[in-house]
Amino acid sequence: MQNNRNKGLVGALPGLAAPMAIALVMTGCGGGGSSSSGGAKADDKPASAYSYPADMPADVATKEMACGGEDAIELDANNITDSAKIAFLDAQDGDVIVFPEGKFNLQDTLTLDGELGGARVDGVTICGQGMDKTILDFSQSVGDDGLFITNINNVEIFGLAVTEAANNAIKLQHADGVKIHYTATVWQGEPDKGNGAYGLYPVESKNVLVENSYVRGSADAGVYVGQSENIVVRNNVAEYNVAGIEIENSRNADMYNNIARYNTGGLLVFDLPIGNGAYGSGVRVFGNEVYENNTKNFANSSSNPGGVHIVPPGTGVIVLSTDNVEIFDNTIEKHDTLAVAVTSYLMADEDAFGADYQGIIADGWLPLVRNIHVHDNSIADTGANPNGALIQDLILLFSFTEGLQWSHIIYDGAAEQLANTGALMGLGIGAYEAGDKVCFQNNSGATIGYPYDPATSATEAGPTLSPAFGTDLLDCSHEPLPAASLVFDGVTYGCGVDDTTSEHCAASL
Amino acid sequence: MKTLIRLSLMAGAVALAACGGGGGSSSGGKAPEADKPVAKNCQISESSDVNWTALASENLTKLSDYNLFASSCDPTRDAHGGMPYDLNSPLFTDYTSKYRFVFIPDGEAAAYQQNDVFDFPVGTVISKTFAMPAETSHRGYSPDESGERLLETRLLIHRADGWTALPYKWNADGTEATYTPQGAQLPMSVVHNGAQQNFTYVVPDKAQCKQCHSYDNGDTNVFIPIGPKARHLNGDFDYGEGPVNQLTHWQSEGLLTGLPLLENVDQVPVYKDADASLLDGYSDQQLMDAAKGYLDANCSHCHGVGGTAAYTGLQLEFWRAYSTEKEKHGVCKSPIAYDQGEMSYDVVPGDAANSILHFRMNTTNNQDSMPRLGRGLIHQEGVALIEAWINSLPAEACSPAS
Repeated sequence: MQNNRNKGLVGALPGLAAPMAIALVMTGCGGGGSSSSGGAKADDKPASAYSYPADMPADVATKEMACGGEDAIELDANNITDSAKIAFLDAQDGDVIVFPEGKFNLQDTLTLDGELGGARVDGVTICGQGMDKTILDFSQSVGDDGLFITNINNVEIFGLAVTEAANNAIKLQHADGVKIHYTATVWQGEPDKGNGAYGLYPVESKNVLVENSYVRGSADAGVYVGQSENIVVRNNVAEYNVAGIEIENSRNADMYNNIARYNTGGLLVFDLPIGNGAYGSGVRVFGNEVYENNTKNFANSSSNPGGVHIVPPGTGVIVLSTDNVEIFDNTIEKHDTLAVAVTSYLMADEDAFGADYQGIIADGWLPLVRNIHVHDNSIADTGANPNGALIQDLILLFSFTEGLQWSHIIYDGAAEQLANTGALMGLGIGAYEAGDKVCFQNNSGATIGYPYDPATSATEAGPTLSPAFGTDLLDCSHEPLPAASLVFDGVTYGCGVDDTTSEHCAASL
Repeated sequence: MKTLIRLSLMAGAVALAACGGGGGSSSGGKAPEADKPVAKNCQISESSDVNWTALASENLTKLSDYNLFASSCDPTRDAHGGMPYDLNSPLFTDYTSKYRFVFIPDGEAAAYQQNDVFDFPVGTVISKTFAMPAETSHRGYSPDESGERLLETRLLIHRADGWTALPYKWNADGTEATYTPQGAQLPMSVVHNGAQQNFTYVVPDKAQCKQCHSYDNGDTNVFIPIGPKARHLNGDFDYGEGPVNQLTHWQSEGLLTGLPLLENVDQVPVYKDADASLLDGYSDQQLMDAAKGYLDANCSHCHGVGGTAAYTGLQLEFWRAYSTEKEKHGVCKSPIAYDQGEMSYDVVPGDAANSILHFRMNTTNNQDSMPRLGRGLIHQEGVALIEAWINSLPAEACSPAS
């Protein structure tokens, strides 16, 4: 087999010979070297699916909400798989499907297809007695996903936990109106690539709210919202996943007031070349507590250059080839590798403008990052032990080049340099204008580095290596992005809409 | 009203006893002994009139109340006007035997389609019964023998508002099939090639049925049958007077219109489990045709235009030419929604062991296994075919250096 992996741009640089790699003993690079890498210590984990970390935000794990009512459909505790399946198959507009208290072994995926017959179902609630009281365990299931809900409008899920699903815990596809709250998805034990992929997984959907939920142990992303639009993900706790929370190929999203800790990477904003016309733009990441995301990357590796297996362990926030992203007022601390990485797709695949990608580019995707504003974040304790297969050469470059140091924030600069040199005119992309730039401001003294200076000229061979390091690089700003909002069952949700009390949302009115 | 006659089938001796009303199910006989063929209480309908009215609108609790078959405990023969059929390269379902019938209302016919499933008239019922042999070397169902156990009968009914799927699960005695929309998970064992395999057989629920029986026409997902396509029916069947081509038989029976000359109809090669032993003698072209037929039958309802996995880019319809659409066949194509860990491409020509397509067929780990539904065992003969096919393919860019 030819080696087709990790052929990112820096990995192909001359002058960074392999022998240096064996001498990779890094020291702290400023910013306080006391980073903890103990994100996966056994004593940090819940002992069972019933118990959640003691430091969960108020009432998330133990929140009790009314799940029931006069016309509710009460599932049979003695025959949970069959009774749930029947309720899901018969789902009608306005149904409330109630899981009783207890831990249940589900025998198969529970599928709700809202278009099994007649018009699409509108308005179904699936609830339990609390994520610490209603545990749906899929470890003995013959199916792959836990819950799979599709072709539906306005589906609400709360008050339950889905554990040990073979693939995804709760997947929703082709849904318009999703409200998930006080819900947990858990794979217990040590991080393991055999765990399921996604915890809370709305995809190809519209109007998605995920809040006050807990996701643990996903071998991909704990919360993953993909190929969707109008999204709010807030007040969740994501820990011990490869990616804590990920917004991918999605538009108009706010990710705020979440806790992302002990993952491999905390918060991800990705736009991948998937070829179906769904590409991402317009994501705000703010008010999150992102810390100690130092767990080893336990995702399956793959040939997908943009898969989460590339996430360098110890990374707080990553923006990959997405336009229009604002990252502000987050606390990003204690990361072995990086607090923030902003990068074009060239870091994942140096051929991202090549022949293989022309069809995808014609479909609307671009490898670029444009209009990125990272500002007013509190960044500390970063870079004590930078690691990650994807960025080995980058680490070596910064660590062993005189005048450079490993920095807290990295921007690749490569695609911008190509654009500024006119190399992308064939795609109709000229030099970055003021509104396109990648900007860093007021991030508590965090250092910024780039391997490719956007102001340097690229050559026919590609971008010209021109690294720099400092605290005031790329100092510019953009207008704030608008808040994201969504409509669920006729009610509008969003920061400054239904949430007018949390810090940023009162201010954004 | 039809009257029911209760039939008690004893091993070797059939005793008929008429009972009025068809009430209780007790035969008054002794309980069967464990190791002997089970004596069954079967109801034989006097009427051969299919209950079309109920089929058109009602999901009856008992399969037998539709009166599709002469005996209430044998959905494998004596259909009331139903045409039995077979497929050249059937979908694998855990080594079950399958018994298929199509019931088309009198005076109506299906319209031929070149590539898609036939256009069946409203009222059509397709019955497919799954039976598990104790040993795959001894197939064939009979109510008074213990060789095969009835598991489920799936009815696909073309109602006025579209196709619907009604799953019926057989009781352990094989005397009655009950509407079971929620499906079931059945502990099962089968002896195949001398080895006993224990697994869970899954009767899919109605929503799961649609995962495969689905066609996205751009506006909506519609429910469609999968099997009865020209290329799969274009083969011989013995209706009792020697083998004849199924398509011409359907045509001559008035069940099919628009059939072109057979020489102009695609034909998926016959590939049954016994054929795996012949793979060594297959030419590359034979492997190509057989593999494409197998992939068509087992994968293309999802991995095909309009299917639920069309988005993956792996599209495996038989009519799609390999030579001009290799990437659609997975050649040197990375999966877009799956990380295997070590392997990079769906199909690596010349290297089945590093091809994800082969890997996912050759596992029962439900995180990885394909198809996602309906398979709890590895289809050894199918894997062998795909392995031989991939290894026979000419090298491409992702192939190992020779």
